[in-house]
Amino acid sequence: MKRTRKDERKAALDRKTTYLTLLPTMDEGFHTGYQTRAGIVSDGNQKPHEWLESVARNMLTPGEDVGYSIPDVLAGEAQLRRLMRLPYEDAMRHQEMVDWRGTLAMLLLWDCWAQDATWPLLECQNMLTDEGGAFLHGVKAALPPERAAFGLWLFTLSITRDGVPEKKAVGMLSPAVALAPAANAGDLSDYLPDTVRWYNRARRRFEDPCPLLTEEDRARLLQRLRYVQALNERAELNSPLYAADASLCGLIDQFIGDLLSRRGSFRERLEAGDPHAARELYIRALAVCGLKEVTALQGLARRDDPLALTDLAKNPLLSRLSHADADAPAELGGVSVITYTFHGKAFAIESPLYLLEPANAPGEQETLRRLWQEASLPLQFDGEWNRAVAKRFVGLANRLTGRLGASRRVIALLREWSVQRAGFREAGERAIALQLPLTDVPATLPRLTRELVGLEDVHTLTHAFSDCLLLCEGVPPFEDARLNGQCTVHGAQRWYAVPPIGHALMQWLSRAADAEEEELFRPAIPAASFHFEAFEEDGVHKVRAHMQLTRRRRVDGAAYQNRIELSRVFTVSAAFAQGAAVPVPTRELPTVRLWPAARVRGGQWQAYYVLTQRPDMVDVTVPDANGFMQGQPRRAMEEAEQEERRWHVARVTMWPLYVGLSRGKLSLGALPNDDAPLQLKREAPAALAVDFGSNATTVMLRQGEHIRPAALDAGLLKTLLQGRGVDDLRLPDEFLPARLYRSQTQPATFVSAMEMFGDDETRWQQPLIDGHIYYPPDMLALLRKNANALYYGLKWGDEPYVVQCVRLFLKQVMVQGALAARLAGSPSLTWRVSMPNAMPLYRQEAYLETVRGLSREVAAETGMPLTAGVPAVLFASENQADGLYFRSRNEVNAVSGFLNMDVGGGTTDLSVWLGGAPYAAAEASLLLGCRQILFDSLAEHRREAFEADFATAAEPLRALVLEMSRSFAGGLASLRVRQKNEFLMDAFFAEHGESVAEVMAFARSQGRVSLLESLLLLNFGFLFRLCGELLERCNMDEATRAQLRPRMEICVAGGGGQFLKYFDDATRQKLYEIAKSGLSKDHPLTDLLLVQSREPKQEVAIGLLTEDSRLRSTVQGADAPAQAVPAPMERRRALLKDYVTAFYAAFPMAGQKLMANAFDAMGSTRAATLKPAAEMELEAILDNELASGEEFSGYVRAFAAMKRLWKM
Amino acid sequence: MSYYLIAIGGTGNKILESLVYACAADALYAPDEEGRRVPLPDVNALIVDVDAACGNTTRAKQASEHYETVREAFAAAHVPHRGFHTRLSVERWNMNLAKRATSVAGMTKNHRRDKLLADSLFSRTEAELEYSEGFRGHPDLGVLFFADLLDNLDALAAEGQPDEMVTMLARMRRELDAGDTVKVMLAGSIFGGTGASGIPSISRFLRERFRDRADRFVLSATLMLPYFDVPPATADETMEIVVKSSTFLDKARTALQYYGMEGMIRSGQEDARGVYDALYLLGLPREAFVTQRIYSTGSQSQENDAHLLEWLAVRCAAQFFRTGFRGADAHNIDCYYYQWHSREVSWDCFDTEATFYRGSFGGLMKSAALFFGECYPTLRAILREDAARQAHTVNYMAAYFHDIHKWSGAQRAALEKLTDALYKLMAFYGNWMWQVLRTLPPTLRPEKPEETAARELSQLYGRFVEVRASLAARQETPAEQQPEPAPDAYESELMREYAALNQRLPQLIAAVGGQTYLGLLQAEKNRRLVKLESQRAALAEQRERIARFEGEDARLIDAQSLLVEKDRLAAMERALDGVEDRFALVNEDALRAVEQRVAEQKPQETPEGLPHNKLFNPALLHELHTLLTLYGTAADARDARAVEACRRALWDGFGKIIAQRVPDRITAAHAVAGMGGGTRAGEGYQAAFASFAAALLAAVVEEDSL
Repeated sequence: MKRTRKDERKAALDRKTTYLTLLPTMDEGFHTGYQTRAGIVSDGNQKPHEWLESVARNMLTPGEDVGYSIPDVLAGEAQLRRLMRLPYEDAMRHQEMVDWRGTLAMLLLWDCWAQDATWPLLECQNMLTDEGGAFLHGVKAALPPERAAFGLWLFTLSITRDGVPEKKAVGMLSPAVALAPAANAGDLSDYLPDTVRWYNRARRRFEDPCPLLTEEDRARLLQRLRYVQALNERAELNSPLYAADASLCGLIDQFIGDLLSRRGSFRERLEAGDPHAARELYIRALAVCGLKEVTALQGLARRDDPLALTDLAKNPLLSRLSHADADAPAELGGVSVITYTFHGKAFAIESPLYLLEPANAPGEQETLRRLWQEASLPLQFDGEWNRAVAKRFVGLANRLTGRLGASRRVIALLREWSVQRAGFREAGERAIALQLPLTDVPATLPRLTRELVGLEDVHTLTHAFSDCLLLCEGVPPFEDARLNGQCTVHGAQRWYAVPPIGHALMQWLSRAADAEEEELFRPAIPAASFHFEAFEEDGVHKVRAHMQLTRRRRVDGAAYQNRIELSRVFTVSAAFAQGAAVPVPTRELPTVRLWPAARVRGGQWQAYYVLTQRPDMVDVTVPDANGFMQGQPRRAMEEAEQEERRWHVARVTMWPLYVGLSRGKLSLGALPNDDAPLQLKREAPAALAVDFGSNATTVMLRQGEHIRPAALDAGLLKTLLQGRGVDDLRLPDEFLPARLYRSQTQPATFVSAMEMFGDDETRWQQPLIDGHIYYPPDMLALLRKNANALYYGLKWGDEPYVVQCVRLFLKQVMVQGALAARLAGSPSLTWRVSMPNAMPLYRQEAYLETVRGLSREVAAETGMPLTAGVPAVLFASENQADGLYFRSRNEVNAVSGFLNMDVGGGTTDLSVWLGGAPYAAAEASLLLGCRQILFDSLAEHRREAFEADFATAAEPLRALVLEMSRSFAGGLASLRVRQKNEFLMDAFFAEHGESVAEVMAFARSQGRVSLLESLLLLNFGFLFRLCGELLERCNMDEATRAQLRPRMEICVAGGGGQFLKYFDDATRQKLYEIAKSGLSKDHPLTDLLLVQSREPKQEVAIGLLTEDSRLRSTVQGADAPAQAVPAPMERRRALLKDYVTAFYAAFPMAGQKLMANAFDAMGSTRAATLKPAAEMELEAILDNELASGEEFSGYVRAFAAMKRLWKM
Repeated sequence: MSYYLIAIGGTGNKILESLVYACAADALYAPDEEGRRVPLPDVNALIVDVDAACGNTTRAKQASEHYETVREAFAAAHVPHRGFHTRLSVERWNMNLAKRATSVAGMTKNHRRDKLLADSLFSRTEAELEYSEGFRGHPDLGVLFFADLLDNLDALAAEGQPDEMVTMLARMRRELDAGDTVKVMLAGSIFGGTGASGIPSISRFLRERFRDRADRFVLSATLMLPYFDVPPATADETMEIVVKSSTFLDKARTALQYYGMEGMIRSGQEDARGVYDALYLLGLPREAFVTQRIYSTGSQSQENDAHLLEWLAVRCAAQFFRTGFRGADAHNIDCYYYQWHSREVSWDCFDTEATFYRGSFGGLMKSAALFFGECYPTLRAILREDAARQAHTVNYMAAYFHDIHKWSGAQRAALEKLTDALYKLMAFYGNWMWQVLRTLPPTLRPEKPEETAARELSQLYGRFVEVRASLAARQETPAEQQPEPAPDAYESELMREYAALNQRLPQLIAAVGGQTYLGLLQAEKNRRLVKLESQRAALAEQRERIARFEGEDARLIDAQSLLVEKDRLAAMERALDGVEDRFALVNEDALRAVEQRVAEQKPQETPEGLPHNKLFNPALLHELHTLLTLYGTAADARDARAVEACRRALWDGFGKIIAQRVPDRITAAHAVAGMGGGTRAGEGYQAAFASFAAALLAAVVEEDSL
């Protein structure tokens, strides 16, 4: 600030006058006096002092700091004296004045501060009393005698650095100005304690202490400055500071004025209606009257510091300026400073007129903010607290009203606030907002969060946000379009945020949801509350995330929603770090799926599986009862692509309301999964029947009288995060596909194949984790499937690995079945299983035991209990079950009897049911299923013919057949590949039945026969022949012969039975004729009627559920299967030969195709005869296969041997 | 009654030089009972200067020595003469500087307690200042120095070591003890270092020393307030103490305040605390300052031009010496200043002494003109043995030197020495007066053509920068944002102005010369740099302010006001762009000027003359100065024709040398005739010289005009 003013008008006028004073330009205030003569003159007033000072005062100068230009060795002191005489504003522009105030304040307050061992040592010594060098000699000479007599009392500060004491000059005691700061104090940063806040350590100099003093220090400094004034103006105090003109008093008056004006600033603002000032007062009042007096909040304290007169003598500066015998004026005593602190930080001082005023302590605004946080909570929610505060406010207002000079504004505010607080009502919706992360946590917050949302641990709330915000870049990451919409980051291009829910909150919400009876009243983070906004601040890109934690509460019959608004700002960054928002292309994120996506209340279901595919970028964790669970890692090599695939599967016992994402220690948010719980009907306990077939398994469910497939809805597989779109293609390899069943017509029927995630069968414990039922999405996928992981044809193996694999297969079947029962509303269940009679008894026993054990395991793991009071597992033979099924059907006349033929994948069960009995009169279980009918022939001997069958088919089908053929060729030497090929073939016929029929029909239309038809006719013909043989056995038994009727239904069940549909009636008629060809002349049967099952593949399972009384709980003591009366050996030996001859005769083209080398060419009679060589071969086969064992098994063995020998 | 002048520092010694000429003019006088001016018989002067090699000090000392030589010749010959009646004894205080520490840091280097004390009294830069060349405007250091010096005087005296101050003090003591009144005046500036510290230090010392004779010991000081500027320092201000004109006024003000505060001026003769009986303040308004051609912070390079104020300071001394301050005259104890009832420099400015000064100082100048224009070559010639007989043929020589050819070589050598002293004194005086007129305050004289051109150049260049900046801004600004009036008209107007300025500026640069132009560019650059920095600082402050309003002080401002503050910030940012553009333009011009070697461009030939004034004819005084310059060159290199031309001009214009309403009728011919009519007052070279010099001094001014 320059003092020179350019007044052009005055300069122009000056130029016009003839008078010219040879002096520098003066201010208007300078008067030289009226001069009548020119020359050397004086003003004539005879007051040269005044005139000289007037010249100095009014000289217009640029205002440079030139204190050094004072011709005095104590120029600093003189400069202060000079500045004292300047106008106050001008004086305060000089740093010397600031230094004076700063140093004086420091020394006057020095004894007020608590000091410890690290405190610097303040000393004061007279420099004139000791010996000195030339410099001291010069200084002494330059001092006026009276000044020398007073002495040069130098204040120094000492510290010890590296063991060496270091000393700095601070200032010199002055009889004129009390203290003259050192001219070269240097950097005092290390010497001054932190309490000297007015020393600017960056600029290494003092600043005006007035705005920087705490109120406590301010009060003390005021008292001490007034004492200095007294010393300066009262002669009776005998102070060296005494001056008749009391020149120092004016300067100190200004100092005091500035000290008080700070307080005045608050008062002025308050009186002027400044809302900020009122708010500050409000917070202070709430803190003192509410938090301290009502809540007794820990950390809030009141400190009373009396300003004792006796303390004055302890001050290092005052003690030297006051006479030893003089007492400080009594009016300076009796004052006390009452300070309120929060955790040691002052935030208010008590004021008689303004109630509470700023303490002006460091970080006071921050303390007020924290107090507001503390107060705002009970303020909003605690009725008693509010009423108590209201009462206190009224009391204070009344007290102030009677006090002279008290602020009317404060009184009015107190009354206003009192009314507000008294009018508090607890009811209503309540909300608080928190900007996270909180720098500190209000002590009242836990109580409030408990009240609002039932959250006990406030840490969960303060860490409500994840460490990082994961931004999915590109395609929307969620399956739920609504969530994609809510998580869109506004202000950014194609960014979607993963809801940044912290792990602790996620876990708490999950548990609360699990425990809460009423969904409506559980705490939640509604998806609609998510909001994300990108913005730029100081050139830094940031994203503000917002969400709400809500909970409904019921008060007096009305429901209100409490709400905690949470927001946090994340800084966009390329690296994962605390507080970072990291954009990641969606395609690099894993795919996270959940099964079953069926939220069932109250622990009624406790087996949830979370699959994470490609968990490379982030870790996926799921809250569980015991904390967070990460899925077990699994990997597989995709041979076709030479790529290793990795995934995790976790099984948790409660509904994963959220699935957490993390990376190392950093949490990255959560995938919400807060669907409403399913509303289940209350149904009867369920009975679940499992028909474990060689290539397909069916599960049926009965509730009361109602039987239906235990099918699961496709919606039970839910995608929480869709990282790569291609993951869908991989899904069946690792988990459950959305579509479990081959077709809508066969719900609850799936292939009996397992894919295992490792070779060590001892670790095949948990379905979906260690292995799972494999669901081929299509034939091509199956073709490309790595055969080493695939386990098929499990039913008949008894190797340990197969047993373990079957166990896992059954467990998954039962888990799925249990889920179906649970979703169907059953409170408990029991199991029904079937076993083929062909299975040895010990294996039946083992199988049953396995199922029993699994039933308990599944009940424990899924939370679906076994029905009390009934056996957990009942069983029946497949024949029995089939019979029970057909017996219950309307189209079958059970009384007239029927023949059941269940053609499965590995066996065909035949049974004869007569007289409406609930059991079979005769039965046979044949190891001749579809696999034997087709596989060996197609895979080993007739691949070319198989390909030729489809040569004219549509291209995809033809190509598929070629692929299969190649696969068959490659699988001859490997059991696993062979099994896969069997699987392929089963799948092929199951999937392409219509196409197979078309191929066969096409061949017929061409006047030829296809290989497939030839094979089917040969094998089905043989089965029909055995049916005739079984009927013949009934005729041979007296007991059953009476029940035989001329007309019988032949009920065809099983997947293989479906092949019969491909034949026309004439062909089928021929098959019946083959069956009847084995009957004796007296056999009453004349007509066979074909009944095809309406629920193919379900017949056994349904049969198991139709009549519990026919089921057993144990193999021990069970009735033996109804064995037919064995035929004599001659008849046995003739059967196969007769059959092939009859077959050749009935189906000459097929016969020619399959057995051209065995028969001589047909003659005109169309009768074909076996070649002698073939006849001899058959004889050898019959010799080998019929020598021992059960009759029907012998036929089948012989038939199989024949096919092998003749490469059919 | 004895009279002392203690000249302190460079300015003090410039005053001392003026005092020499005042003595020559008998301007130091006391009125007798009849009111006649009786020249003071003796004046003792002591030179106090830390800078032993100061040019001004040396010049003052030399001038005083030449004066004394001439005066002694007069005194010895007992020839009636005009002026030269006051004996002037000038001593220089040898302060034994070589034995003293040269800085506070040097003094305290090995003493921790002293260092601690020094830290409390002096800033770091002060403590490190080497004060062998003065105190560079830091009188607090000077005070310490002088205190030490003065404190040792008694010890020196006791040891019997010679010391000029000790001698002077002893003399004062003797005179006081003898009942004489001793009048001491200290003179110097209070805005520098040596003077500012020496004056109060020595004054206090003297007052204290002769406190017992306060009734007869009268002390005063002429305090020179700022009256000139110095060129900007070339040294780094952050590294060492430099002298800056900008601080002069504040220093003076601070010192005056201290004088007042400390009661340095006595409020009456009973005031025991006070120091001075009279204080004379002399200064000028800022616009009247002249810039010293050369200014050094010390040493012999500090030989600055004489200034009118130094002449006036001597007048103050003269007044002090003739004024009583005790008894009935005690009312004269006061502060004095100079009141001028004129807006030009004329003899009338000396008010009551106008005529006296015109005759004495004017006469002295006419004498110098006659001496150098006419007498000196002849006198030099006759001093040579071979030409001695010429003395017969020149009437103004014949009267005094007609028998010079009979003189011995020693006599002629003595005469030559006297002649040389006269020559040098007259030359010093002529040069001094030439400097005084040359440095007349601008407000007291007409503006010079080159000053006019420089002023116009300064104004137009400023406008030139503005016009270019506006044009550049318009080219960068989209049409729709351009201000009214219509773009075409406004731009055309700017273009027209640009063309006119572009044409005029080279003319002005040619007129003032490249150096002046470069100086102007530098000054403009500095000015704009200051503005730029100030704007940046203001901008930073505003940004900080807004940041506070948006942060911790958000409660102190409403949204609308914050908007206004932000608008203001935007406006300031735009303004800063403008200031930066303009600074860049000036910078470019400065660089271009250097590249084009503009500095070598000489100013247009303007008659190097003195400003118009009413003391002397500037042209004739300039001729005299030129002649002295020519005489100063070696004889063989001297331009004889130029010398002749100058002599002729002085001869012809002799009667007009002194500016006066009624022209002096004494022409050169008259004067020469007058001199020829004189007689030698005695025998010998001294009488011859004294008679000649007295005739020279007497013949040039008619008595009536006095």
